Amino acid sequence: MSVLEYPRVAITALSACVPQNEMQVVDLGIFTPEQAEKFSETTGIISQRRALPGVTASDLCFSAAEKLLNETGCDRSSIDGLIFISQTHDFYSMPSTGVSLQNRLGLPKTTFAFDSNLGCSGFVYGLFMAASFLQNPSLRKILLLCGDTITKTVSPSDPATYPLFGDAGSAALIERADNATPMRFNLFSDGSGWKHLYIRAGNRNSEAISREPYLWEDGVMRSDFDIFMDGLEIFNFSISQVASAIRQLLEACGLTSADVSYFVMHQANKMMLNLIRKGLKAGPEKLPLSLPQFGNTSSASIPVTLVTQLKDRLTPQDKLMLSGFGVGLSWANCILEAGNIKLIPLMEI
Amino acid sequence: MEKFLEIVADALQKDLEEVHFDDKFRDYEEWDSIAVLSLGAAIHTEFGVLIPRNAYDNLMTLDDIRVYVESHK
Repeated sequence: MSVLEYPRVAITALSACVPQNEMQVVDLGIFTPEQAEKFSETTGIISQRRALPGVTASDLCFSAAEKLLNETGCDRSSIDGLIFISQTHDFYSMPSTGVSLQNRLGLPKTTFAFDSNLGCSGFVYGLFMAASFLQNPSLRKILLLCGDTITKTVSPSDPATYPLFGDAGSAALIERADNATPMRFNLFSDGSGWKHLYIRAGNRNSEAISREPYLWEDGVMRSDFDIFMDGLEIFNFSISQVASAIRQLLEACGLTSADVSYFVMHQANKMMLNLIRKGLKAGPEKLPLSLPQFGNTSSASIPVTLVTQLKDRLTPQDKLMLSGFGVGLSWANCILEAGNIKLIPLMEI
Repeated sequence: MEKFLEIVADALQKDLEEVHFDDKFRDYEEWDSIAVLSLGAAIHTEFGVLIPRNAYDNLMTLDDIRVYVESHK
């Protein structure tokens, strides 16, 4: 696919919310202190926030959206659309969580609302959807909510996933803005890699679903409701596809890595991100990291990184390369100018 | 040859004297999900080679990895 260009659209405000419950990797009970140190050294992850029972991805996104709407003074009746992107919806199948968030947030019934099932690429895909919709001149404002409580879907016996993920929700206000510099995207999918990162439960073709952990082929005890991740395949995918896709987007825009102020990447793990960064010939100062404190926060990782690492550091002319990649397999990039984006301090519930 | 073992030792945080071509790397005490990635990253950085799962599962010794890397550079 060629590069998609969307003029007259801007992210005007962004907020994120994490659970108060903070856990250190070393205290998770899955590693010895030496193993925990090695894990943190390699992945960059030292701690994460884990939602307590009863706290959902929609709760985290709701709180982020409430704060955003209150702090911007945005008239709720002016919101034309709500997109909720998550892989940990309130219900496994129906109804749509995004529709319930329309009601919870007190948005008008004229607001269109729906869910989209994407993970690590979700924020960039959501931005693409919102920017596309806003080319319709009768639409002015869209709320993009991205969030997950992935820690509820990982086996405590799985050293590849249990210490990796953190929970978070985010809210972005995306508006028609006549003077904005265009956003430019490229987006990709490779469904052949679905089995590298998935949850078996919910597969309509699967008859036997176990809530009880059992021994999988990789030697890990997990239930059918827990994530399986083939770390090697996800690593190979990320290293082989992400940097080249970013380079393609830069080239199509007549830019180089030197023109980018910050590469705001999905927070997969530090070692992988540094390899991608080196492939782009960018210095470490251009790669903000939120994963030391928050882990891999799935679809919320780019918003969490923006609000925690770049608040008070952005100028309107800064060029941001947003890059989401992972489960699906799905990956997408967007280059945009920071403009007057209001980054709201991280909140906790 | 020596360089390959140095890379392996460094990636797995072992001494060079502790790694040999006929070692079954999955038997190393240090072998875990992070070691897989560390070694993968080191091999990619040094040789530009990524090893897919279907090939990886058939590699038993460090020499198997070396041969794979040599033939895919």
